[in-house]
Amino acid sequence: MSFEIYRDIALNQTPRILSFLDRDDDSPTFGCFDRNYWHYRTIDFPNVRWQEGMLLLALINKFKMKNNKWQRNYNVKDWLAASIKYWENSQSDSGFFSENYPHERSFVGSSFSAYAATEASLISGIDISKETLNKVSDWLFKNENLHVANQMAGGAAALANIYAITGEIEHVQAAKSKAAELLNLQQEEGYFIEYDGYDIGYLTICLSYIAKYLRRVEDSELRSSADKAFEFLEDTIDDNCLFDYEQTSRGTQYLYPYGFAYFNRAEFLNKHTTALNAGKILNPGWMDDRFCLPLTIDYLESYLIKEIEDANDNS
Amino acid sequence: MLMTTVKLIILRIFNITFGRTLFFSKLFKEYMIRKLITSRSSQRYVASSKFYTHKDLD
Repeated sequence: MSFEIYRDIALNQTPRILSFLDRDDDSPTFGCFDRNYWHYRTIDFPNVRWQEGMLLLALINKFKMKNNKWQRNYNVKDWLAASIKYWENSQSDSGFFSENYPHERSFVGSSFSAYAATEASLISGIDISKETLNKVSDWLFKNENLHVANQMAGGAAALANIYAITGEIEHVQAAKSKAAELLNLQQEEGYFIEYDGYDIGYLTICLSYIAKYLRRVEDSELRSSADKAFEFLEDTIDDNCLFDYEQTSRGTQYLYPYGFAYFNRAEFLNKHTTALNAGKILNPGWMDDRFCLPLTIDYLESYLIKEIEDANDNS
Repeated sequence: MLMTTVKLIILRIFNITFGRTLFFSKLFKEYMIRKLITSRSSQRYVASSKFYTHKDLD
């Protein structure tokens, strides 16, 4: 099966995303991806979710792909190191990161950005300080958001990545405890809870992070629970990859493909790539900057699924 | 519920005072989740991301 459409869309969005980043090494905010903060100055603190762009930099800098101008480029590597450093410096003393307002203690901001930073570090070999990793791991272990399964899956994936970097047993124990809590959020119908119901887009994010967790930590129970969630999704999404998002708990319209690629759900991937090629469904280029960024990364991770696994095996 | 200048000033005063503590920070977040996400109104308009899709042309 060809995932080239994921690569093409992701690389088309890459110049747009590089413009989010402060790339001036003389700037005090060098490495910050939140353009509303460092350029327009319309907000008073940087939203940590934008720093997930770190992972895009690592992917384009590392892997050879058709039309990838950024592979092995020294400037991109400098921007990546600066963006990881900026992420580290935005951590609170207690270990959390904030998304919507200062001192927020954002579980999603902490988990998703920690996954992106650690994955970028594992791909690029750029180090994150042990103190930063220990603090975020400790905070994620002690905190949770049991209303929102995709955030718990992101927390488990981040902790599994921290374990991959440090090899310390307490980090894998923290990851496993997060995965166990996630299992309790699955409903009889197969979906994972998102604020009192199911939501298709968030369920695909949840499965994407479950796959990223399972890449590092084997868990047969989570694997079979993911299968059940895929069956629910495949019953809900029609042959043209459309679904009734207006009746779901969050009304999201997008689909993250990485989980489907990892679990080799060929039928879905076939209809998703067909619909994308035909321009019939939402893709990152149709979305605002904020939502374009993580979906673009998921597309590129889906295209590079084998290369990322090989790189992990060799590291 | 739209943001206004006065609401933003009050929010930031809260953020840098009581909001620094775990208890008030959690309390505020639970209130915002209830207000903005879980207690959706029965009105016709519901705030969501609403990206353009071709279905909008129907």
